[in-house]
Amino acid sequence: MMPAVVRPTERAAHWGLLLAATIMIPFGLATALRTPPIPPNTPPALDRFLTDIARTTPPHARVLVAGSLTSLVFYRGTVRLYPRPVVGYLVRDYTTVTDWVGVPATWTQAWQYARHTHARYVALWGTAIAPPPTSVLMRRDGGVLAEVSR
Amino acid sequence: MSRPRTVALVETMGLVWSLGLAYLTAAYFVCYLCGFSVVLCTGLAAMCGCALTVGTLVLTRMDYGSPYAPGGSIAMGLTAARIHRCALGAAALSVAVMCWMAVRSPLAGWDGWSVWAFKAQAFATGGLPPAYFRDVLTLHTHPDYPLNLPIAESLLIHLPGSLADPLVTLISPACVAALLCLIYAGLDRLYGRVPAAVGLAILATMPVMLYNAPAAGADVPLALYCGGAAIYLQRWWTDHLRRDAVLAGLLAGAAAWTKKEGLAIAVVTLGTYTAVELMQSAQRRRAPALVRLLAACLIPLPWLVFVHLRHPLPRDFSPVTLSTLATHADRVPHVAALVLQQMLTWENWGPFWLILGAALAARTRHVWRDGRLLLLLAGQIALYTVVFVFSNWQPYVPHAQGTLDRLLLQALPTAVILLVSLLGKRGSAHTVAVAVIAEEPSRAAAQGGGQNKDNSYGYRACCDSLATPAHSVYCDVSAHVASSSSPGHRGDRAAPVCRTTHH
Repeated sequence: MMPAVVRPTERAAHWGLLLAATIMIPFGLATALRTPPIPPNTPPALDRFLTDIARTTPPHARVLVAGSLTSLVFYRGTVRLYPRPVVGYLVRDYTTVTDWVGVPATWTQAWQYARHTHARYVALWGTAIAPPPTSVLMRRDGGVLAEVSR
Repeated sequence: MSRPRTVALVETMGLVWSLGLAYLTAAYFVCYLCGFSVVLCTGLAAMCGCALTVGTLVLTRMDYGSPYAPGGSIAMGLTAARIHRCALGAAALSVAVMCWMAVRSPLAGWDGWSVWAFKAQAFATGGLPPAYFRDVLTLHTHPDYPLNLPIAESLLIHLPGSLADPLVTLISPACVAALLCLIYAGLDRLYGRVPAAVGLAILATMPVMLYNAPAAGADVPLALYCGGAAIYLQRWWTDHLRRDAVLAGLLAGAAAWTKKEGLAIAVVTLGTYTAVELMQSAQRRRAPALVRLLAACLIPLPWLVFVHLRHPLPRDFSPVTLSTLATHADRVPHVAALVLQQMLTWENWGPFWLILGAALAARTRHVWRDGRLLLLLAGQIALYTVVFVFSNWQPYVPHAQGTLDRLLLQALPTAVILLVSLLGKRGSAHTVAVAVIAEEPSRAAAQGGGQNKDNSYGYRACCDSLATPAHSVYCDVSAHVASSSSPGHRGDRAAPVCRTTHH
């Protein structure tokens, strides 16, 4: 057997690992302890409004959902109204990073888009659009639900 | 309980969660394709998942009594024990914070509720309708993404609402815990328990992990499978135990079943494995090892067949062709700069990537031993750069800026393993000598009965016989492999290195 060979570089390497840990771990722990939980990104009023729509509309009715927080209202509507097909007021291609969902400026625009996409209901949240009173099924929590065929 | 058994138990816990989850959901998906009801799907998937998990554990069972675990039965020094305890405590604290954040704010991450929980809800209420995969209305929910996480979440959504959302959100912290189990067991076996605990703590306390784990996205589960495959690949390169190659393949396959980029990561992982095996097989005739790649197909096969037959609508990527590459090749330097910028983002990573770079610069002599892992990491990072060449998103720069932290998170476990392998050499805490059996390879081989091709068992047994109460001795087979791969060398005649660790 060959005689033992001292390897000081390995000892130095190990101290390097401890040094890295001494820097990284307190930094990570300090971050962990001062990071607040992720805040909910959906206003509770929007969720309440969508829950009411789910109670009011048939389970497979197509719904056009739009609102002031454009992407959020559309995404949230898709989730909360499942299995109803939810149509967004699309103004650009899906793969555009921002601003691909819009909000109609008038009831006529909303109605035309809903007809074009075969949506039976229009749900608008956080907008100033006023559908004709005969179409309105529900007004609650900052939103309005209207039926297109009425 | 002895230390090897404790480590094996930790490893088993990690494997049960990671492989059990993937088997269960893949079996559920097969039942769903057969048109079974939710109850029947759940029952059959549970049975298949349990059977496959137990079968895998039995087939790849650990040799608890292996002398290969360095310092297996000898107590650590007091300082080392304190470092070990503190590091494990830091990791546990970090996971506890992740769990607390998940419970306090369930399903708060955007992708968590809009993509993954949406599909989970659909599965819980009878399964996604076949039309979903071709419906442009729900294109924003990524119909072409695999369904591992949504199916797992769907099994919890049946619970009452107050329980369901927090439990669904806790899946990611559980994946972090499983990842830590696998990484700890692997690093312990390769480098000893103090480097293992330190590496574990660095991984667990990384801020980007903390931000993503409670967000209920699929990036953390994907990091589990990428990290699991990486640690088993490193074990395979060091120990040459067949089980490690099989487990690396299974976990890489599970990555392909978890997220779309998981398929590319699995290809990079298995490509690295293949490249290393082919380079070695020319001299060491280990080409049959490539057969173990088939393990990677087991879990994602139903999904890949489904995608091939049904063509779910893609959203994110242009066709992966040379013409797309040529058209958008000018993006590469911009995205590479963004990757570098992300690595230097202090609030996400601290100085981690700088430390890794410094360690690589300082340990260039170990380029062969750690080069394979470096190749794997470089492949993953290169993948994240090139992927934006094929991205459909316009403009691509904000999209890259918004997603690179999550993508690099998937490569983080590999980076941590590389850091520990660079700086936490076996026994380096107290290594005072390196003994080389140069003159008696035949005696060393005979001692273990020549149980495998490269006689590594025999060498290990020989090294074990050299241990004293003051020194544990273990065999560095990777040094043997490196030397036997050198030009003009005659395979099994190479000398392994027995390293002694002083206690």
